Amino acid sequence: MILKIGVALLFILAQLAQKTAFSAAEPPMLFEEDPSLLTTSIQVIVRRGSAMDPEDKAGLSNFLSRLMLRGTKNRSREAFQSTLERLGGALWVSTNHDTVVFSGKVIRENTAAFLKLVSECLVEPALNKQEFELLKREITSEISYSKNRNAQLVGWAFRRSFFESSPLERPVNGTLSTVKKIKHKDIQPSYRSHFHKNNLVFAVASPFKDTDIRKQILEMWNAFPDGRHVAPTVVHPKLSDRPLLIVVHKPATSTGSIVMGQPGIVANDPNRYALMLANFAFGSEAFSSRLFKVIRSDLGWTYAIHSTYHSLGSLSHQPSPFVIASTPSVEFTVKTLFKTWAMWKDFIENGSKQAEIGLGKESLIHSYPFEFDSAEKRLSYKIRHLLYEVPILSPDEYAKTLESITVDQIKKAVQKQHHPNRWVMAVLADKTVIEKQLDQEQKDLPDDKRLKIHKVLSPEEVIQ
Amino acid sequence: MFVMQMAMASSFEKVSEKIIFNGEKIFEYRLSNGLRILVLPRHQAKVLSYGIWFKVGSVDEKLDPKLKKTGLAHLFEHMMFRGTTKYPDPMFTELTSRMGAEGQNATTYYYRTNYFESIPSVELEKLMELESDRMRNLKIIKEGFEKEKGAVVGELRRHLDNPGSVAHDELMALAFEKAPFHWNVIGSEDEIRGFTLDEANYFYRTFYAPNNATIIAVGDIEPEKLVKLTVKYYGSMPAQELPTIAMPVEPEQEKERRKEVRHPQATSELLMMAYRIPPITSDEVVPLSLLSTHLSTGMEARLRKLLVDTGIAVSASGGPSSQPDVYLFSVRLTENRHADQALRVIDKELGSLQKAPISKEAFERALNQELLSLYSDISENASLGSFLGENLMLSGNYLRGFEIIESYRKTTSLDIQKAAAKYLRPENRSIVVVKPQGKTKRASQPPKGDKAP
Repeated sequence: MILKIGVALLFILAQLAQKTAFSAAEPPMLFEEDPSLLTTSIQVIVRRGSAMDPEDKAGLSNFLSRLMLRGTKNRSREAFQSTLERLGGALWVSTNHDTVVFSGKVIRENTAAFLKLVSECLVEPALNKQEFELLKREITSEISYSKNRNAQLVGWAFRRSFFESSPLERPVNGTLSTVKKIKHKDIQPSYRSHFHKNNLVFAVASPFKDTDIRKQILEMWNAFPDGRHVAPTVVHPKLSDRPLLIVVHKPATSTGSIVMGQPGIVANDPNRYALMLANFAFGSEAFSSRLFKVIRSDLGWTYAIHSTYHSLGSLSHQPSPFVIASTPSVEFTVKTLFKTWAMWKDFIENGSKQAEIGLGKESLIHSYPFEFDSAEKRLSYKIRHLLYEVPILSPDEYAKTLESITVDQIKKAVQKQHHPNRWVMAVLADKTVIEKQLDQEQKDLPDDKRLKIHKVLSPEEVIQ
Repeated sequence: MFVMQMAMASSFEKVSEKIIFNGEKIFEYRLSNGLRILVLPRHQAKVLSYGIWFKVGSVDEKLDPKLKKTGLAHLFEHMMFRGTTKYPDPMFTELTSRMGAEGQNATTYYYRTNYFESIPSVELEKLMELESDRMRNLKIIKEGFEKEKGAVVGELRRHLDNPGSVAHDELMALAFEKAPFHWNVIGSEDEIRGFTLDEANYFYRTFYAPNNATIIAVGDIEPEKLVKLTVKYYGSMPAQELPTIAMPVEPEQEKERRKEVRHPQATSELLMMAYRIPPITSDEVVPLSLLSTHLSTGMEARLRKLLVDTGIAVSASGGPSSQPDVYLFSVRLTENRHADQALRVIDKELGSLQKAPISKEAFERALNQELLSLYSDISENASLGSFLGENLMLSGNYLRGFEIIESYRKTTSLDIQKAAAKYLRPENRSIVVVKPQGKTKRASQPPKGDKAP
């Protein structure tokens, strides 16, 4: 196969691959300079996330990080936010199980003043009681509102069963009961656990030379105390060899929401590329995958169906689940579940076809430039490389890596990683409808061979 | 002047070469069959974003005497992925996938339909061959048509399970009595299932014509090369006579309209309202856009402070939309709070805005937040292509978005006050409140979303 990628990309990748290390003298700082940019973007990655929240106070990391945006020791929330927004800036935060990421963007001419405000927010947050109470009400309202969002509810129900009895069981923003238990006195200790020199990574994409920005970041970093990074506990879910079916009961839906998952991989798994190709063929490719072709194009049961290894693009040390998600018309919910499961069993047993993998290789190799075609994307790759050792390959290396993988190797990688029946299946729909469809679809099977509902949850139970 | 291309059925004309605020150039061409081309070269990476925009959407269907239904524009968008004689299903998607196409998709709205993908620039010619082939030689056969209806019904069902989508449908039906914004874009299940092959063929032959289309390319491409390829692949397509259907004039609204909807999936209330405003081509849209940033963008947004910080709502926003031309407010209420509470707060705030101008600091905040949003919109090839295309379809002027931003600098707080006073009046609005259905409901009954008058 002929590579059709420019020389410029080779140069970019050579730069990307320069290793940035954690050291006592300065923090890991990643830069991308592009003079054509009209904005400066910054990410401050805190290497501690919700997986380390106390069990009964799940959501504490998310709570802390959002509270930090609500004023500093020298400025009220209003003064802080209006100054930042008048600069043409925005600062937001997202919490994951392993990290908290503060992300900001500002129009280029106000870069220096904006970075000063980011520093103030991170180094001297007010964390005051009044804002704490307001935020607590806001977060609990948001969690309650999730009952209106079927996709979110079924995702949470899936997570709860898939990661049962582990720190990953609860959503990053917690549940109603755990957020209610968070007290103002919990905030300062949490801040100290998150914010110390050894927990922080800085990444900036900007139109400017990095010299001045580097100086500002160093000043920020030096204001933090020393600390010890605690590596997160990696969770390996233990699933039964028979599928576990959870139903979130919501009457009168016109679609069924399905999330089904198996244990997945970490980002730098040795079989990363083989499984990527397998997933391309089975369910990730938007129009050409088996799931799309059969369930949507041939059967017309659903508008959307796809599969994904979440860990390939996420900021996490965890082997995130391999997930298939779909929203079929409600009358096809159980049919979609069984058909998908049957297709999976066939895929495990017989593997993929040469033509499917050929298409996957060509597509992935040719789309590789899109991983690096903007400063922000290059920065994201650098971050994943630094934190999770995601390999940065030159276009040639990438092509050679993919080309060298055989259909047989892919089949073996899938069989090693996956199981035909080891699924957690979560479905949101009317439980009576699902029960009837299960009876109908399995009427010729003996009772002990039938898939049965393991648990029915109400939306209230999911968010509690 | 038109330049004749030897051995080509079409000729082309260079219409303009415009420099935008950051120094980048946009080149505009037109083929003699009416096809318009916009190209913005960017050579930082060997990739480009390619889109083709058709000036046809759901508003064109209901009033067409040969259709009189809604939903075909959207269903047809799906059909465009179903293959041609030369490239039968699923060759189009397989071949574009082999190219490494990213973000390939299509969307349909009231006033336009667009198809788009990003590709390595060396693949441009092959992509244009495929795109032009499906624009002219689509194979519309019963089997594929019926299967695609199933997928579209699935999409409709998903739409109807979302209380926010249903609220929007109901609001447009309430706000517009004559204009075809009254009907939702996707159509009803009966309409979708009822479309015939004849109707699909008529729609395709009529509206997917070069004189109803614009190609927009942003990225690693020289304008001359794009034009040459366009002539090669699209040049022989004949222009079509487009239906001249007069859009009914929506009467002036004289009093507030209200409707309450019960939705089986809603567990808390939702408030949506639409104030009628002028189209995007009007200068009065400029202060209304700035007002939207003041009300809705950032942690300091007024609606956030008044409704979210006070515990009344989970989220709140308000801003202008075009075609339909309305100033749209959307408030998701906290559980056990009521839409009337939110409405009183919004009315009080709008009253204040109509009596006194916003502060200098608030104005500066709104202006710079608009710039941040624009700069983010144009940073990626695909989003810039979309920005140009939407402005072109809405106003006939692809630079309209940049002109609005430029006009911000000449706008004052007083202009915002005047615009709010003129348009954000109770008698100029329609209100829809979605409430939970309560305990008496039938299982598995899809909610009714689309309502013809």
